[in-house]
Amino acid sequence: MKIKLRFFAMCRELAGEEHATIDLPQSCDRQRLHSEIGTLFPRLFKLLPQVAIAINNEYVRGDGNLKLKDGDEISFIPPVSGG
Amino acid sequence: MFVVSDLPINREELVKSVESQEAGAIAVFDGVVRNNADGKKVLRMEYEAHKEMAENMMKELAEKTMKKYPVLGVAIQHRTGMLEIGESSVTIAVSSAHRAEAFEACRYVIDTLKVTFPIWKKEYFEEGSNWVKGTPVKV
Repeated sequence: MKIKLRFFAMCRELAGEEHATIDLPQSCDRQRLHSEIGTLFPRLFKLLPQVAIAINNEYVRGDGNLKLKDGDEISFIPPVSGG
Repeated sequence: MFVVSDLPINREELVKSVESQEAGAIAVFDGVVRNNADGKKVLRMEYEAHKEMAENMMKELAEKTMKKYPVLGVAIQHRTGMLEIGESSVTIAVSSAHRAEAFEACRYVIDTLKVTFPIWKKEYFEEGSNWVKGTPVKV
């Protein structure tokens, strides 16, 4: 599946990009996601355990596999500090 | 009224949006940029947000708040971009018949926003800048 990636705040600075695209399987476990991201954006890898994942503007709950469709957007949400 | 934008917050408009004839109380919370953090002088703060996601979450949080507390209206605005000391980064207005629930609900909204919303702030000091450490989102 062709997946869009979107990076925010510290994630964007460590990745060096705000947007990217990547190929991922329809059912993608976290380890696979982390390893793909870590390969493309090595400076981001260490932060990943603290980064929450959203698919198309909704947080992914729990640790289970991501269910992906072509064109989905994964947002990487580093530790938050709004308000 | 649920807005994430780089425009200055219009507190009057936010308060007006929760007013009603049945509301005897309106609680307003303003988060303001402070001139210090961790013993250091802060020059300014920069806010970034996942706008679409944060605005959706504002609507959901308002609905959840109105189920949890007997309140009549909830409005939230968060600002993004570069803010000077003394400017509001977030304003929340809650209306209810009586004051107890307005205060409690307003507190609930800001406390929840701070640990779950996809919004980040960067502090600017004399020596440089850094993203505030923040809270990993637990879902």
